Amino acid sequence: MSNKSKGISGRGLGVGYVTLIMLFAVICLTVLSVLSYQAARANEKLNEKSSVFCTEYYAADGRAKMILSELDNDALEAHSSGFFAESFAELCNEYENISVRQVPEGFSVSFSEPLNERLKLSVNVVFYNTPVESRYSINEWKTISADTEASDAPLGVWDGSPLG
Amino acid sequence: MILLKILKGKAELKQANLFFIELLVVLLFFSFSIAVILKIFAVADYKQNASTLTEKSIICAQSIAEVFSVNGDIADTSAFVFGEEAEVTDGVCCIMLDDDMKPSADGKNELIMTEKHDETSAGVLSSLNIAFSRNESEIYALECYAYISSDGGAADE
Repeated sequence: MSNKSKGISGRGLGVGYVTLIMLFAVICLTVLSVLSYQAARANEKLNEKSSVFCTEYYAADGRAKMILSELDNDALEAHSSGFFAESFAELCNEYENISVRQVPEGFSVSFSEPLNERLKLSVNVVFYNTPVESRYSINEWKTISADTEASDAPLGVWDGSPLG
Repeated sequence: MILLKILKGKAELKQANLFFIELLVVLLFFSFSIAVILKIFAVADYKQNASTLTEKSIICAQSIAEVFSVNGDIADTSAFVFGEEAEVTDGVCCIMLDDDMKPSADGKNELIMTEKHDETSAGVLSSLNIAFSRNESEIYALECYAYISSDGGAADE
């Protein structure tokens, strides 16, 4: 029987096989390269956001420390005057965005510095009438949500009481 | 019989020619596409290296900022963070770092810290400017503050 009737092709690979293999290899490599680029780009975007947040946080932290240094200066001035409560309360009135509340040990001063659209740095410091180790102590220095309405709104979680 | 053999030989030769022509075309197309694909890989690798360096710079800058906010002194801060006290000249400190952000004389990354003090009767408000750069291009910069009260208290307790 001849090779033709048996259906056996000529020597070597037939036409088209190499093209198919090449197409498959190019498609695989293209997909791999695009995925690698996307992963690197996503990592880059994440780092950009991280660096922006870090810069914003330390900028707000710096502004808060400047206010604290001014308040500490006022507290020292108030102590040296001999009438701490009256002097300090009067000096604190000059600040626009701080709230002062008298507490048994002295004055509790609260203020906040905006970090970005969603967050702010909340600070609460107590200045003592009679300083022992230090003129003040920091009760709170943390980031909180800038949207206070949303944080105060109750979640409406079911407590197990009978319905209706 | 001989004619048949000659015809068979010619057909096989035609097929072989077609195969080589196809191989040439395929190789040409493959080389063009591989050039583009390798370029994409190279860009992805460059971006990944750059973002890894930025990430390490951010972490190192945060460490420096947090330590500085407690002690307010650049020499103590560098001793704590890097394990060795750096030379400070006119409030400026320069340290060469390797790719892992560790001090190295052969490092390619430069860390420049600039310190300023604002003294009042109640305490000292210090600012520290932290800047990472490589090949004279800035990687990351951060400014942080420290307030040390005259009665010994730090603002970050």
